[in-house]
Parts: sequence; C-alpha cells; structure tokens
Amino acid sequence: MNRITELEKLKKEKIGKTDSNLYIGKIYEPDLVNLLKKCYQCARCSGVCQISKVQKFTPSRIIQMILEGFEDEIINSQVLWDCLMCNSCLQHCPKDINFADIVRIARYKMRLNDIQNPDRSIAHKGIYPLMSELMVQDNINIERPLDWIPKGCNVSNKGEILYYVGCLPFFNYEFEGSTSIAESTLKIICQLERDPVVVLKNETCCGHDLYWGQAKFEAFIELGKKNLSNFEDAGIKTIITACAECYRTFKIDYPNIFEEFNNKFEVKHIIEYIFDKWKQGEVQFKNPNESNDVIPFTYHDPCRLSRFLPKENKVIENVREIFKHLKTIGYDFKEMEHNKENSYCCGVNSWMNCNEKSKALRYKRLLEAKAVGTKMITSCPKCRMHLRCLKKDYEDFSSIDIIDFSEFLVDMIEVVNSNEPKGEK
Amino acid sequence: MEKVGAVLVIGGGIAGIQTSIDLADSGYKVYLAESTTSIGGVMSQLDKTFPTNDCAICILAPKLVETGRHENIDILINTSIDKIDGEPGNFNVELTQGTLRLDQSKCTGCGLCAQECPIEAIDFFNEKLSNKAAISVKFPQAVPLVFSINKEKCIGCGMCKGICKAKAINYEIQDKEISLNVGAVVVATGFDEYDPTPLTQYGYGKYLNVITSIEFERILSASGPHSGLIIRPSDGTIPKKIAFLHCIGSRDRSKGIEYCSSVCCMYTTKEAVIAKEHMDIIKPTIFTMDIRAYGKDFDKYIERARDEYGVRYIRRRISYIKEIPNSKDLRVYYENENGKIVEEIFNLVVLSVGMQPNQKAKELAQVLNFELNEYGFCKTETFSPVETSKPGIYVCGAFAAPKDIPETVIEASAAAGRVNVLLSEARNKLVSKKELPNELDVSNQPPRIGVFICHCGINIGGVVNVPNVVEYVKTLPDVVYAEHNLYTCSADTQTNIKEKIEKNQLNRVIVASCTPRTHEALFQATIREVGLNKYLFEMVNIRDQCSWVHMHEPELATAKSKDLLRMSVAKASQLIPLQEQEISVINKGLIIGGGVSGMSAALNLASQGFEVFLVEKEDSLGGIAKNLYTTLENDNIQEYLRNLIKEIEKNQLIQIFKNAQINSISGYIGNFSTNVTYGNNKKSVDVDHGIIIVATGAKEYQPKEYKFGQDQRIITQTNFEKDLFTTDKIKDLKSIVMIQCVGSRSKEHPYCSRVCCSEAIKNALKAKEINPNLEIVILYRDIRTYGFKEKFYNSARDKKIVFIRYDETNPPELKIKSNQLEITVNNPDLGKLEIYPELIVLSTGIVAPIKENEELAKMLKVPLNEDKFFLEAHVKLRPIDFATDGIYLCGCAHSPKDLRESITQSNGAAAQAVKILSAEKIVTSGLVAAVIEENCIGCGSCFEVCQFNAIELIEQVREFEDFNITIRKSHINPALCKGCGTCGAQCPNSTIVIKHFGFEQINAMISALLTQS
Repeated sequence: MNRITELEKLKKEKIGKTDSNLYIGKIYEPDLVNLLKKCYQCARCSGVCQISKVQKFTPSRIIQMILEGFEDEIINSQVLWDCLMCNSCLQHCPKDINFADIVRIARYKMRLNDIQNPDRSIAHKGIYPLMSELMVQDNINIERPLDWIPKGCNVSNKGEILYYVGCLPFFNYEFEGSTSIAESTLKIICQLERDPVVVLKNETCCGHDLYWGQAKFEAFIELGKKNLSNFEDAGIKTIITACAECYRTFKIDYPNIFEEFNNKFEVKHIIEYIFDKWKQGEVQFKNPNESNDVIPFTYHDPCRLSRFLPKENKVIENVREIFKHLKTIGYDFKEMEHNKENSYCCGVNSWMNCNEKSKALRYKRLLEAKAVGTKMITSCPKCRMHLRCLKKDYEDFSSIDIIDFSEFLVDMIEVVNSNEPKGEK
Repeated sequence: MEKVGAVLVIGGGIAGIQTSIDLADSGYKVYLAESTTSIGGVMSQLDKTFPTNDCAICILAPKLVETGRHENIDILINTSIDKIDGEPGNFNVELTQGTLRLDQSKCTGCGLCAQECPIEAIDFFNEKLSNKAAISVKFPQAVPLVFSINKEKCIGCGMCKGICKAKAINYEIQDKEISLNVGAVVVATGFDEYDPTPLTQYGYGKYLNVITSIEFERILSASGPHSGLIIRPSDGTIPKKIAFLHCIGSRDRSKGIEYCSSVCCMYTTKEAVIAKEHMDIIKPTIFTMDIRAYGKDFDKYIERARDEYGVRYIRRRISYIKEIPNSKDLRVYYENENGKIVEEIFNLVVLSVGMQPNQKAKELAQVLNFELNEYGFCKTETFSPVETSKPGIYVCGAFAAPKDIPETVIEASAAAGRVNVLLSEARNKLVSKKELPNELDVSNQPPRIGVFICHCGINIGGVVNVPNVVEYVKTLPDVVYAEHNLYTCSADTQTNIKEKIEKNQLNRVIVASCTPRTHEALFQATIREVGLNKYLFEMVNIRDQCSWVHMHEPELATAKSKDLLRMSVAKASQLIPLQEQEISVINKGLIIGGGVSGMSAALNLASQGFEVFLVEKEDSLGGIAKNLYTTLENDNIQEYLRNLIKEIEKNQLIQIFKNAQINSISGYIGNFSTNVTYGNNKKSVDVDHGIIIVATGAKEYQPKEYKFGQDQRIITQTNFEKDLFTTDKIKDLKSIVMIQCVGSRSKEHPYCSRVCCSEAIKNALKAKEINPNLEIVILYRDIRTYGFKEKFYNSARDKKIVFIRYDETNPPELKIKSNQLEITVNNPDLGKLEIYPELIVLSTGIVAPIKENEELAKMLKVPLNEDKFFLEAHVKLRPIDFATDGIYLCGCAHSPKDLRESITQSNGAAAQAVKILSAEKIVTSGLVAAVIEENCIGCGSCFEVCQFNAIELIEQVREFEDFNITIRKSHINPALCKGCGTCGAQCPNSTIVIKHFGFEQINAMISALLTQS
C-alpha cells in the first residue's frame, strides 16, 4: 500500500497534459512528516475540534498515529475525509500547525496514489464539484444564467469593478432563493457605482471546493488560470464578492500560485466594500420597516472570513461596527455564545460528509442563535444554505430568519448624494 | 357436486388477460383459451391509447409477459370451445386446439423459419396492409412466442423444417382434443370491427383512399406496415387533409345497428392527434354528430385536440363520397350550417368503424347456452353486470357491450370478483407449490461465476461469434465456468445449468441471451432449485443490444457482447444474497362508504368469508341511490337497494359503522390500522385490516345557475324524479324544459358527469308515460347516450320529445316575466328560439366532495385528480388500484358513473382485495431500496418522491457529548418498495441504496467497461 508519509515524485501521467506541474509545488508539500513533526502532543486542538463534539476525531491523536507508524489505521478509518477544515485547531495550536492544510495535502496524496477517494461522501451526488471540474475543460463553453440580474442594474462585460457571483445561480436549481443573495449584492454595488458593474457570462468557478474538499489541485490551478485571464480580458481592477469562500480563495490561495494576483486586483468582500463606502460617507443606513419595533439579530461568522484569514485580513470587527451602528435604526445586534474566531461551524465543508453528525453541529448553532435573536445574518452562502436546511426540519427554529449580509442590508442602504454636503439632508 | 378450483377464460384480449391474472393471483388454476395464436387482442394492434397517449403495446406487453409466465395460467392458443356439461362450480368443457404444424413446447420463437420461408401470406395483424411469411408469429411481442404455419399458404417445401434447430416443425401434428374440469367460465371474446363495405356511399373497398380506423391505427404504428410513416394507399404520398367519419356502423337504426359504439369519438380524436404529432402538415377534420367524451378526463382531451392540435370538428354526418379519378382524392359532401350541401376535397378518408359482436359469438352462445341481446352482444342485467343468463358463466369486456379499455379492465376484474364468490371454497385446491431445497450459504465464499451464453438459434449466434465470446469470458476474473447453448431457455438447458452449478460449485450465474423482462424469472427459478439465492443471478441482453441493433456489424456486435459480459461479470462478483421478507396479512377489509358501491364490495368479500368493516358517514346506508327510483332500462332501484341493505345488515361478517368518521389510518398492505368514531355517541374504535376499498361516492351539484332556489318551478333532475315516482304532480303539467350540463363541462367543473343525459331521457320517458300530452324539450350540448343507452334516446325522439342543441358559448337564458318562465335558446342551425315552460328541470352534474376527499386522500396518501376525484394508479390498465398497494377504488369516488358501472367496479375492487386477503403472507422482493441510517439527515426528499408510499420518516434521538438532538430518519418499508430507485436518485446524501444497483455494483460495471480488454 502506498502511504501518505512516503515521498513520491509528482506523477506526470496522473496530472495530465497540463503545465499545472509548475504550480503544484506551490500548494503541495510532499513531506507530510515534516509538517507534522513540530507537534508536541499538547492536544489543545482535540479539545477545540468542532467535529470531535459529535464523532471520534482528535487531530492530536491523528498526528501522533501518523508519526508513530500507524497511518494505515488512520487511512482505513477514513477520518481524513471527515475534517471540517474549519481551522478551530489552528486558532489554539501553540506551534501553529495548520492541520486543515495538512489534511488537504494528505487528501491529495491519497487521491494521487489511488489509496482512497471521497467520491461516495460528496453530498448532492457530487454534482457541484463536478460542475467545477467540467469548467476546466477547454471544450466547454461556459454560459452562465444571467436572468437573475434585477431590473435597473447596469451591467457590462468590461470594466473595472467586477461582481464575482460564484455558484449562486447554479445552486438556485436545488436551493430555492439562492440568487436572492446575488440580486441583493448586485443591487447594492450598482447603486454605489457610476459605471456599469461587470458580471461575466463566462465566469469560472473559483475552485475552493476542489482545493479543500476533494483535493483536486490540478483542476483548481486550471480554474485559477481561467479566472486570471478572464479578469485581465475584462479589464478588472476590483473584485467584489459576497461569498466567504471565493473571498478567501482570491485573497489568499490565488496569490500563492499567481504571485502578481494581489498587485493586479483588489479583492473585497461585500462587507468590506460597504464598510469602506460607509466610512467614506457615501452610504448611510435607513430603517426599511414601517414599525419602530426593535429587532434583535445576530451574526454567524463563516470560518473563511474569520479563522481562515490572517490577522490583518480578518473580516470580523468591521462587520460588527456596521451592525452596532444599526442600533440607531432599530436593529439590536447580539453575539451568540460562540462568536468571532470561536464561532461554531455550519457543519459541512466543500460538500463533504453531510450526515447526522454535521446536522447535530448545525442544531447546536441554531440553539445559540435562537437564544439571542430572530434574525441570523451570515456572509457565506453555504452557511446560509446549511443552516436553512436544518431550520426547515425543526419547528423550534421557525422563528429565526436566516439571511445573507447583502439580503439584510439591501433595503437599508441609502446613497449619500455626493453633490450635497454631508449632514444637510 | 364438489366445486372445482379452476376457471376457463375464453378470449385472450385485455379482458381475458386481466380476469386470468386476477383469478390466478387469488388461488385458482386458469385456462386461458384464445382463438388466434397469441393473446393480446385488439389492444396489441393499437398505436396509442387515449387520454394519456401511452403506447398501447408498451403498457400491454408487461401484462402479456405476466400472463405467459404465471404458474397458475395455462394459455391454450388456436383453441375453440366444443361442448360444456355440468353445473355452476363444476363444468366439463371440451375444446379443440388447432394444429400449429409445429410442436409448441419445442419452438423457442427464434424466427429463423420465417426468414427462410419462401411464401408470403397476408398479415392480418397489420389489417392486410402488409404481408408476412406463411410461417409466422402474430406480432413480435406475442405470448406465447411460438410460430405457426398458415395451412392455406404453406406449400410444404420443408425449408423451415430443415432450418429449425429446435426441431419443432412437424407438419403431421393433428388438431388436439382437450377436456377440462372447471368451476366457472368467463367469456371475454371481445368484438369485431364493423365492415363498412355495405355502406356503398362511402366507397370502402372501391376507393383506395377510404380506409377504416383500425387500418389507420396500424398505419400510425411504428411497428405497422410503413413503420409509422403516414402514407395513403393509392400512391404512397402523405395525405395532408384527412377526414374522419364518425358512426360508421354505429347509431344506424336502418342498418340494425342502433347502439353507440362508445369508443369511436375518443379513438378518432386520438388518431387525429397522433397523426398531427407524426406529421405537422396533416390537417385532420372529424365529422361527427355528438362528441361523446363522457369518460374520466375525456373532455379535456377533446379540448386539447381542438385548441392545441387544431383538429377541426364538424357536426355533420357525411352524405356521400366521390373519388376524383386521376388524383384519387375524395370529394366529401355534407350539409353546412346554413343548410347548404357543400363539397370538400380530402386526400384520405378514415371511417371510424364501430364495434360488433364477435362473429363466433352466436355459435359460442349456443354451445355454452347463454342468451344474447337484441344486437347479438351477451345479455346481462343492470344489477348483475358480469353474469350471463347461464349461472356459472360470466362475461366481461366488449362482448357484453361496446366499451373502452379501462372499463373492460374493470369488468374483467369484476368477473373475477364474481367467480371468487362462486368458487371461494375451492380456492388453492388446484394450484401447486414447489418444494425447494434450503438456500446454500455462499456469503463467505469467493465468487465462482458460471456464464451461459445463448445462440438463440441464429438469432444471436448468426451475428455474434458466440464461441469466441465464451473463450473471452473464461479469461475474466472469478469466472470458473462458461459454455454456450443453442437455446439457454429450453427445458433441457435448465437441467444442464443445474448440473453445472453443482459440479463447478458455482455461486453466481450469468445468462447472456435475450431480455430479462421475459426470461429472468425462469433462470432465477432454475438456480434456486439447486439452492442458490435467486438474486445471485445476472442477465445480459446480447440479443436486443448486440445481435439485433448491430446485425450488419458482426464484429462490433461480438465486441460489444464481450464488453457487456465483462461488466456483468464485474457486477456479479459484487452480488450478495438478498432476502425476501414474508409479511403476514390481516384478512379483514375496510370499506369506506356505504353506498351501492361500498355495499356491493362488502357483500362480495363477506360472501367469501372475509370480515368487513363498512364505514358510512350518514346515518343510513344507500348513498346517492336513495334518490333514484329506476334505471334507464326500467330496473327497480329502490327494491334492489332494500334487498341489498337487508343482506348487508344480516351478514354476520359485516360490521357496519354509521354516522362514522375516519380519524386516522396507519400501516401498509396487509396490516392497516384505522381509528373510527361512529354513532350518535361518537364512540371511538380502532380496527385492524389488510386492505382498504375507497367507495366514498360523489354528490349532486347544487346549481347556482337559472335562479335555482328562487322559484319552485325550477328544480333539479333528482327533485323531478322524486315527483315522478312519489307524487302525481306531473299529470296536469303541459310543458317542461330540461337543461343539460348544469354544473358539468363548465369552467368550475370542466368534465362530463356522464349520467345526466341518460337520467334526463329516463325521466322524460317516464313523464311521457304518465302524461302523454306533456311537451318536453331537452336543451343539450351533446347527447351522450353511449352503448345500448342510445336505444332510449331514439325512443325519446320517437315519443316526440324535442331535443334542441345549444352551444357552450351561448347557453340558454332564463327570464321570469310576469310570473311566466321564459327560456331563450340559441340553436347553431336554427337561431334564437323562445320557450315558455311550466317547469324547468336542471340536469345537474356529479361533483366530488372536495373537503372530504382531500382529507381522506391525505390520510391514505393517495392522489386526487384536478377535479378532486380519486386518481387511480394508471387510467388505462389499473383503473381500480392506487399506486399504494392494498388500497382500491370503486364507484363515483373514481369518476361519475351509473349504478351498473358502480356495481361492476366494486366487484372488481373486491377481486383485487381478495388477492391480498386470501394470501396468508405477502412475499416482498429482495430488490428494494434501503437507507444507510447513519448518513440520513432526514431531509424528506425521498419521502416526497416515493409514489408507492413506501417511505416513512421516523424520529430518533441522537445523544452527543453535551446535548441531544431528535433527527428524522428515512425508513423504507420493503413490503411497499418496488425498487424503482427514484428515492436513491433524489437522496442528496447518496444514503439510499438500491440493492444490487448500489455504488459497488454500478461502479464495478463502469470500471469494467473502462478497463479495455
């Protein structure tokens, strides 16, 4: 049996006729032991590991067993496909061992060496990762549905400001109402931009799920290349997205492969975009409701905007600053018991392993939400989808409205006319 | 004399087939005698069926196969009835089976002989529109699939005999005398199409481009003479304008064919629609009198034909046709709306021929000694609709009266239902059960696969290099034995397979031959006989998929056979023994609804010794029939009803709950539990039962139209009937107007209520009888007196009852001027007419009780149609069952129908129910879906898509470190699961596995396919 600790040379025939090889080295470390050996078995990770609350999964023990030669047992137990990749462990690791990243590499090794593949445990029959993979094919002409674009939004296929939509229109076939996030986001951006906003008909998947979930790095790299050339062709300078995963991918993972990426494009999550506009005085908030009842609401931090970002980039405090300000228009922001970097996970990463255990994690999360508010805001479409899925099954949670940040804000945004001096309205 | 547990069914059309299956499934030995060489009847000739446009042979073929391989059914083809003796319960019948000039037990149906036969004979299946060999099979899907030699055409050249590898052909075989001892006889000999040659004005037989509807049906069929291409006989061009002429051999008193053939309006529309679908340039025109779309969802079909397909309807019968000599086009003459005779040219004329009694019906009636009616159809009575005049002999299908397929199927089940009542004590006496060895435990053995590859004569072997495939298969992993057979399905090969299994210790068997649809069960039974679990079997269809579709590419066909076998071997090695479960049955029935339907079904079941719970919401039994006094045929309904109620009430096995309400129904086939509250004190009781019959009926429409309720002179047909039979109000009346279609065929109720035309005519005739000077005017849209009811329409016309047609867009208007009733009606031909009647009778329709039906449907988890009537499993072939096993449907709960039809359907429902009630145990299939519970997140997607109600969501508590959560888990009941796989496709988590079609098996097949040899 091939082992994940063995050092293999990259097998060219597995990778195919692409030049991905050049890039793979940048996101792949063949020597797993080297990454693990820093561990001194303090086991803090296992205490905070979210999935360990519902199943046997202890990162420290996994590391120990691999290092001490019991890796077959680890592989056979298939736990490496169970990691939520939520990065809770890294938050607490005194040695900065990036366990999620190690699992990602181990997954790639298992696939590369035909040890194991996760095809059976990909939820929704693997259709979404498959769609991402299909987009790699040169003979596939991507024509994304654009019928969700709201009336009055001025869009173009060339320009400086891109709204990167992501999977939402594809989700909409199975998860009704997914495009509502895209509609809200685009409405907000169009209100604030003079020039038409770019929405690409041939927009390519960012590749997040293939990277983290299924460990198909070659496909991920190909998607990256396509995106890069698409953005360049359209003359993009700023990329705005409402997806936590796309954001992390563009902000951190693409620059790992394409060094110039950050110089060429400014990547902004819609939270940052609105925050900046607000701070610049271009935006203020109004109460869209007729009644003046105070609405208590809370915020679910997606891992990709909190734990998964370097300190200087975390989208945690700016969103709270906006939320706290909303008190002036009748929205009372309250924290859940677990928040910010310690936020509970939505239970599923990259379509892997949706089961009763991940359901239990979501259940826990909604219990916390229910305790503090009637609205639960999140800024990751998948968190929204997963939490809504759970809500549907439990009468108890019917009172909680789970919505995306853009959906929440779209009717509150008021553009400050720049011709008028501020404050005179 | 002792009763005999066997039944002779005469006629192998859809009626005979259904009766045979129903009886065989209920524990009787069935002999199915068919005069031609295959069962299937006229339905097998049809291209599509209305109103669903299902392919006829596609939905019939599974029934043919089921009949053919049913262990309790013996099919006697080419057989006629000579003599009958005995009494109900014990008859001796003598039959003659004509020689096929070959040995039926040896013929495998491979068809080699027909390819070699030098002689062409007429293909009667294709209505003489094409030829076929003198040795032939009736049609490709024939059951039994045996060839026969046309004696008149055969020249005895011996070519077939020489080529036949099965050595089946024997010119010397003589006709065979058969005698049978049976308890009952069911006659289902069907009908003949009317031969329009005597109607010389239409030129059938003289003009090439005048054809009959059944000929057109074959032309439409993809398996027909022109492979579905619509071309006309004279010159093979596409007829752009086609005229369809209704009522050819129907509604023609002068020709002695007074009755309506009931089906022509619908099948003509279907043919017009299908023709249009085949070729859009075709413009169909239908010449008709009334459009009789009286069945469930029929009116909608007509509307679609008219509005979506542009089918033109002209309300005229054609006076005459003349052929244009050069073009062979046809000049059609008819009277237009202004009363002028006009001519129109058509490229093809289709005569919609009616139904006639089978030509041998008279002879058969004499042999069996039962009476025919005035038209030569079998005589039956309203209250005993499937009994002939001779006790112990039953009738069903078109031989009793012209009717369509669903009604034929209903009647066929009803005939089985009545036979059940006669013979229940002899049930299971003549059916045998095979003793099987214990199953071998092979679960821990490595796969040892044996492969048997069939030449099928030259059917496969003539194209695919079978020995080469065998050599290849031997090289595949886990294959320990492989051989080829001339016919793998023959009886001696079965013995051989069993020997090879034992000798080589095979634990998986693959047969590569024809289709599993016909042969899988045979091979499964074979391997089971030597102790192998029957699911350790795989079948590869290298006939249809290789030798047939690639007949001109033998090398590719051989290569593909290897590919398919490689996949099959890979799958076989992943097969595991599957267990069939036995489920016990509570042999009691619950019947919902105490009208005539419910009571008839209850009595049927009780008379066979089954306990019945009869639930009625009102405080008395009888339902809608309580308001009816006579039938159109003048039978006394009140007397019948009194006797029926008396019988029900004195029957010890029937427990009646009046004033009752059903609160909940749980369980599944064989094991239901229902909570009922009943009586004035609302007592609550739980009853356990094995089946449910829904007989909840319908109700009369309460009109909002025509100032109903505002004036005592405006009443409904039911009010009028009561006045007729219980008062003498009618005596002094001078004039009545009846208005048809009040609350039917309207926006709110877009369907026809079927009975109102007959009810109006019945009451009009009765009123005329009481008061001959009474003037009666009936305002109608179409008079729908289908079948023999037409006679009463004629007699109403004879009695000077006036019928005035109105158009749906322009209904009659009522005014009351100085206390005088004034009706204005717009006749499309005559214009505006004013009538001043003393009484207005509204023929109100039948409507479904929406709220009650919705509640009950929810409890039963069965569907309703758009009009809120209960929706059966399949409108054509399963008109009595729901898709959910163990629940059946009869009477007006299904759709509006008259008393006779309700009684028929309730006996049919009883016959379906008895299949379950008479079984001690139900055996489920092993090929079902199962849930991997751990991964189920209880999303309910599977529950929503399962049409068999096999899925339940059960709440379970999962305990975690610091909290508990209640999670719904999908649970699939193997007793209800059909293994269709829909749930598996829907499950977002891939956590539902269809056994033997799971990830392991399918993945193994795909991997094997992609692994090049």
